[in-house]
Amino acid sequence: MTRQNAVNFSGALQFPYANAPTDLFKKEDVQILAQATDGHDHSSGKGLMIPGTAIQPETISHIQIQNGSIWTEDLADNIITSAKLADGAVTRYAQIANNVILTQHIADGQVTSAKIQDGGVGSVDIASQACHYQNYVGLTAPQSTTSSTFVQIPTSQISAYVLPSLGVGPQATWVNWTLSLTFSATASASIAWNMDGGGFNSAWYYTGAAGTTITASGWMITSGAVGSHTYAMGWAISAGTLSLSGVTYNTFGVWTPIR
Amino acid sequence: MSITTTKPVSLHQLEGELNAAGVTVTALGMLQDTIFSYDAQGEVVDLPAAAQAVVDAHVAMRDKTDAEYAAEFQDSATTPARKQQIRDQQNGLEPREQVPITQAEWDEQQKSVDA
Repeated sequence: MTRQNAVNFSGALQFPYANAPTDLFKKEDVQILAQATDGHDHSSGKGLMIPGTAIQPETISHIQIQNGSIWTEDLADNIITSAKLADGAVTRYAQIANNVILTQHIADGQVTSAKIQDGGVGSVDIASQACHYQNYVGLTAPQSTTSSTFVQIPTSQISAYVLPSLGVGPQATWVNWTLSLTFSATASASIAWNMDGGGFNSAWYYTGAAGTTITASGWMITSGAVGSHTYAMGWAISAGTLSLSGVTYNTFGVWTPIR
Repeated sequence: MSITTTKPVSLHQLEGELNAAGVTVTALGMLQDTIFSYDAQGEVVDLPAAAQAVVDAHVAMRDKTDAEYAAEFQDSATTPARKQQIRDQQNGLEPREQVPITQAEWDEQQKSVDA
């Protein structure tokens, strides 16, 4: 006699059964088997667990999965796509690691003023031409004049200087200069500028003693119509010869703030 | 005509010399080694060819400096009358004496940071 007990059922549901022709057949073989079949739910002691291969693919729906039971390790890497996230579902900045947002993640034109901290934009964040237009020329030196009326200083011309449009009418512009002037006689030197070859506008005058050299710096605010212009410097001397010394750089510039 | 020179030039002095020689100019300009004049609009124009001879004959002069006056004043050979004249010139009672601009002085003036 080789009767044995079921190995996949236990407790009250562990049914005995005969496994040899000579074994006795007992009523319990059917009675407990019937109970085991009735209580067969594949849990521990109630039959074999169901292997994954025994489940037909694409048959388990969300209702068979307990709420809150899917763990991170149940998801394969890189498997959650954008379509699986509801719009507006990522609600906490803590869910974004520091320093991972790149420039290309921000759509063009999307950063508004309100998103920039007051005083937060440093000068290095502004392009060199973003706040003003400027153009300078270095004046060739030495050079001289004896003219008592304004004449153009050769090499002082700034061409194709474009006054930008701000939509607020004529654009304020600064003309400015730094000159090293030498006087052959005690005299008064006058500095002027013109635009587009027009008459010279007297801007400043400097006095100097005979044989002396002075640094003449100055500026003057003017304005002009939006568009391209040419600027140049003029000079005149009341007596003797006025020279531009080559011992230092001599410059003439036009500067336009645009905001 | 474009006139150039590397010798010393006293531009206002040269202007007077040109006008005295009949080469009428209202003003002169000089850009490095090139001497020019201006038209009625103040634009640069070349000098007439006749200006070349005047430029060639030009000996640029300058005021005697205080250092030069001082050296002469301290010289034991300088007479009391000359010392008085030096005082008068230094104090503006008489025009300062003119001395030629040396080539070395001129070359020093012509130096440029751009060179």
